Amino acid sequence: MTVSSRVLTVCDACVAAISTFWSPTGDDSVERLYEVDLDASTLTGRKVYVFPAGTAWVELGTRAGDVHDERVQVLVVERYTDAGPATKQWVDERVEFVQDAVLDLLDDPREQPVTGYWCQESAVDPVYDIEELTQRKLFLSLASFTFRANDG
Amino acid sequence: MPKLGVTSKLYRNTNTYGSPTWTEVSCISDLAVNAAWDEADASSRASRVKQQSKTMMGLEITGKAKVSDTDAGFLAIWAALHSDTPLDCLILNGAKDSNGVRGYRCEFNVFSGNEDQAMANTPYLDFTLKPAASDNFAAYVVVSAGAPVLTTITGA
Repeated sequence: MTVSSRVLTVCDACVAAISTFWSPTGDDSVERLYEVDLDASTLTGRKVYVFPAGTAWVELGTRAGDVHDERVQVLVVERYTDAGPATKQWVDERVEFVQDAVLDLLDDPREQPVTGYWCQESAVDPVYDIEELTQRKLFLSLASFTFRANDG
Repeated sequence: MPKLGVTSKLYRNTNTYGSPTWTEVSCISDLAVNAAWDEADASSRASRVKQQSKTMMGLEITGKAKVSDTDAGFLAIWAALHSDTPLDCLILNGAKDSNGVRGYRCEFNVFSGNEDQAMANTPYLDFTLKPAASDNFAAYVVVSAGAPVLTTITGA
């Protein structure tokens, strides 16, 4: 579905870029959502959720248009299904996934995965949620991006 | 309604001088019109206050254009920077059909173009326009009855 909201368009471009890079299969998925109810007991596969987080006018770009920001958050969650606590290697692989398939993919100014925008700011915080990992065996990582465009 | 720089206009003529077709160059961000007379001392013993005469007026335009691979306005400025062909421009503090708007019409040469390609920048071309040698003299403009009315800044 094509949307006209700028921030939703940016979110959908992020979904497409991650999907192309990652090619999720089986229970893995990447999608844009407004809310998510994480039930750790039934969660299967690796889920990547893309949320609209904000939109802002920045400054005049030219006489024809303005500079504006669209802020996006990307949540990566996956449940450790084996017995016992999550292994160091299993967490390492998810941390690397967030770096490669989310952070480095979306904030790359050379490839510009979101057409017409460049990434002004990016961060991953937390890299993983230690309480979720220890209490629910859930890897949970949140990345935030500010995409900027000059529509002038 | 207050006048704003963002609603000011730089038009370029895409037709002949005598029958202009004005097309807005909208990739402009900041722009400054600098009109300044040279001064000559005209003092005499008749007064102890120094007197100055106007001699020649300089008309210099400095501006920034957003760099583009396709924008026709930007490409026209870029082309003029690298040729002897002047740009016939209408530089106004509003739309060309809005009564009371003022500015200048002049055939300008583009004398400089500086592009800061710092890694965090959106590139803009800083350019300077000055009147070209032409039989079509610079004129000041006041929009009246919905159209630009030109008045040549005459010599002696």
